[in-house]
Amino acid sequence: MLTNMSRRGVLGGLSGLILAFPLRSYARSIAAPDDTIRLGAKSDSPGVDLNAWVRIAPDDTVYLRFGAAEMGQGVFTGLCMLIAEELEVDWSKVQAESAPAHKDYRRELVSTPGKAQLTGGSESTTGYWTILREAGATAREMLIAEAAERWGVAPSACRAEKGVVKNGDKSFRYGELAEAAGARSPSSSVVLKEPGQFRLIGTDVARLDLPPKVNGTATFGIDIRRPGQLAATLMACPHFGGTLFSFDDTAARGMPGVVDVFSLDERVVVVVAQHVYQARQGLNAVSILWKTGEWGALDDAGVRSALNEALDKGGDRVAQHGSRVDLEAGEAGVVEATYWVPYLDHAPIEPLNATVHVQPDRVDVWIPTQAQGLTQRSVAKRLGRSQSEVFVHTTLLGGGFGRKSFFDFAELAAAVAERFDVPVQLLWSREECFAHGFYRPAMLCRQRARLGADGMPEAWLIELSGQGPADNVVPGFLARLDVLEGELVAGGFPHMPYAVPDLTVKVAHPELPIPVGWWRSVHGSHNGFFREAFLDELAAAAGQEPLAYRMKLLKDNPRELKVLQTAVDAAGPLVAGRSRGVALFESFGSIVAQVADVTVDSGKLRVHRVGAAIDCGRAVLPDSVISQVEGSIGMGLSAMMREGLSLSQGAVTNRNFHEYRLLMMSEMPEIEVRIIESGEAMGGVGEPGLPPIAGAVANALYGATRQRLRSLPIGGDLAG
Amino acid sequence: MKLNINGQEREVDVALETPLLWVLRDHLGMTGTKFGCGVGVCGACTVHLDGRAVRSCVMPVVAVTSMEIRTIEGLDHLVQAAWIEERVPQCGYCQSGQLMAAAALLAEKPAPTDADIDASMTNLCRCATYQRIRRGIHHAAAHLAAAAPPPATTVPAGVPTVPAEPAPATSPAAGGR
Ligand code: FES
Ligand code: FES
Repeated sequence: MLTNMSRRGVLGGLSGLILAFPLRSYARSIAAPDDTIRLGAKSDSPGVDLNAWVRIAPDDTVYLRFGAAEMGQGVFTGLCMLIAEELEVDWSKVQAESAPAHKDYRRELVSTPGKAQLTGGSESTTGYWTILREAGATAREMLIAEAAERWGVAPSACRAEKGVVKNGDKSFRYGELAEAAGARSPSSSVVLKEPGQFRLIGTDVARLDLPPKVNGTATFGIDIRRPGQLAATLMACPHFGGTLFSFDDTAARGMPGVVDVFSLDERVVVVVAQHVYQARQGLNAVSILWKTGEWGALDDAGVRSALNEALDKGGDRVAQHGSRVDLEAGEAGVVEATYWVPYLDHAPIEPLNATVHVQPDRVDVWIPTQAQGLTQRSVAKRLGRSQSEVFVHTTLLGGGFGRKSFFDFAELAAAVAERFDVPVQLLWSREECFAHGFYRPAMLCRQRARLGADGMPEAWLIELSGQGPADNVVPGFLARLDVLEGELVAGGFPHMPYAVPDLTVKVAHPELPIPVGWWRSVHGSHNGFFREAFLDELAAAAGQEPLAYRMKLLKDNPRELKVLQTAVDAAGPLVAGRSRGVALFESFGSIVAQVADVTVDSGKLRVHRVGAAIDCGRAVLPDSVISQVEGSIGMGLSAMMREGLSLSQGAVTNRNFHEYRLLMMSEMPEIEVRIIESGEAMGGVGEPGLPPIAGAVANALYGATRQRLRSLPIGGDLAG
Repeated sequence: MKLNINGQEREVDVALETPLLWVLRDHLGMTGTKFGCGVGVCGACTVHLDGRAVRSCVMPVVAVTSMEIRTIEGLDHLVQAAWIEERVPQCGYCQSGQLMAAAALLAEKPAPTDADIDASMTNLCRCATYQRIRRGIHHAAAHLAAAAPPPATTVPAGVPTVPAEPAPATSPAAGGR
């Protein structure tokens, strides 16, 4: 979640080192097979654990566990590749399993010291990069040691290849060695491959999750069916800061299938029934009175003025390079513009859900979560149980984008299931998902820049005003720390690659009750637009062509220059009649540039083609890098063209997809993505493709209309 | 009540107005058909009724007793192989519905143009796999053309595969009062 403040420090120069780590034994109990999610070749044999990540069956099936959540980013396959690369197995024998929530399945946090089992911050591959290759190498060495002993030769005389250990013309299959190898002590040090020796990493192996995703057998959280399971649905007080006043469940209780109706936490009404539809109908029949709280009058205008007021009061200075000059409005030679983006919902198509079975000795939670560790902790806390009694089974996620890193839906499901001795699935309606998100904060951004005689910015002041995405997660004083704000709210400004001598970045905090959180690319989702659109305004004020202007500002940054040039190449020649915009943004350790070609026809914007380039250091599964950038462009465009939550009476008013519209097929541009493997430290790929698109399209739109787009979403006719 | 699903007769005991979606998912345990919005907008719940793509979350089960119902579990179509070749799915949640919509489109128009795809493929994909869905459809169409004779399945002319602008069938719960 936190971003890449010290990524280079953490990952610098690890490959090829001999890594020593303490001997550890993996308790079978925690590594017990979890059949919630298992994909790949089928085997009837459970096999033998070589360590927490690797299990091998007598028939050579290799079970690999992954600790992260698969939500479309291909991480499921990518993480298994890291193990398999060192384990030297036949990819067609690999079967992937979702790991339980347990400390052994945590990854390194890239942004801060420490470990967690958390899928976010575009960090899964980097965070597991060393851990999983070590696990594969350790298991391989155990298999080699076993074979060597059987032959009476030195391990160094043996080699492992495609699931077989060989010595001259003799060989053992892994399946023949696994049982005895599993009883051996793991070697205390292993040598990892140099990148040049990779066989799997960097290739487009078959994605393990695709076959079940085209035949209906993929198991998402909503698809969990346990014996005796009941269905629950809920409605929570829609007014932020409000409470439940009263409810009348007389009619609901008489309806077919309805088992129970109750309230939780003075703000939620729950209906439990035999089947989902009965629960939904039951809820419709409950008449509920809500009490609005102190924010009961809040609407869109109120939000806007809270952000404006905070901005005018002045924010915390989170970054300062050069002299402390605050540019004043109206100063000679100063360019000024104010930008705005609204609150956004993550809107994964799979609604929030969790299935919980509370038993005297254990609690099982089947859940599409990005945060296994936090889910385990919060459910244990809610039920007053110890964490070791809570078993989290991570299902496939029908989209996450940050929303499923929060654990409100796990806690509520646990509180519901606690009342029953059978499993209960709590499924939120789409309306509830929209009404109770952890939204991408609305953000106001005022920028001023003074240009020198050469037209280049000498001083640049950026003032942001909005809720911080960490506000609901960490205590206020922590959320206000410059390091957090500098990244989570202002990221992309303090360390921008453009050469600007005097740079000041400030962040102001309106007091608002709206729940906020991380939305795909976090700060980048607004700052990509703010920075790159304003940069085009500066180029225009300087009378320079925007691409050339950027290149001048990047002259000492060859990596960024190459990304920009590659995106221009990917875009190809500009078709007559179209206009082109360019943007660049670096986030989550990767650098992305996008070039958008648009037309405006009878007042309607059409984005025809986007050329994109990403430098993510190294691509483990290149096709997933490409599809993540394509998807990020689509999601960014969706936000730009259509999305924005509206508030009235302190409550969200657009609560389903006909009111909160998403990008559709007919609006998706043709996209060409090129990957640059610079060999620099590996960066993320799930998020960094999103930030540039709004800037690129806004800049192209200026070429077509001579109007600056400073407020999203694009309103009126342009959106069509 | 009796239903004909994927060529098999199934017996269910449900309230007549229960949407087909919930009958499939809850009563028959066929979870490949997904719930996304419940108001006929997202398309995650798309199934075939007599070969046409229909949103099952707004289709009362009583209305389909005489129809041939096909779900993703019963789909056996080239378009699924094309989806794997083009590596279409990301999270995959919308893809059952996308595949059902694509198969219905190809049945009606074996060689759809981009404009046909834009008009028919109105299912939402939050992962924005649209470019690959388009490629997957063209890819499947090429396979279909190669595998002559053309498929016998026909859909009456003029019957839209999916409503172009689906209207919400129920208004969302108002909540605040
Ligand atoms: S769930 Fe049926 S259209 Fe969305
Ligand atoms: S693949 Fe995720 S919603 Fe379409």
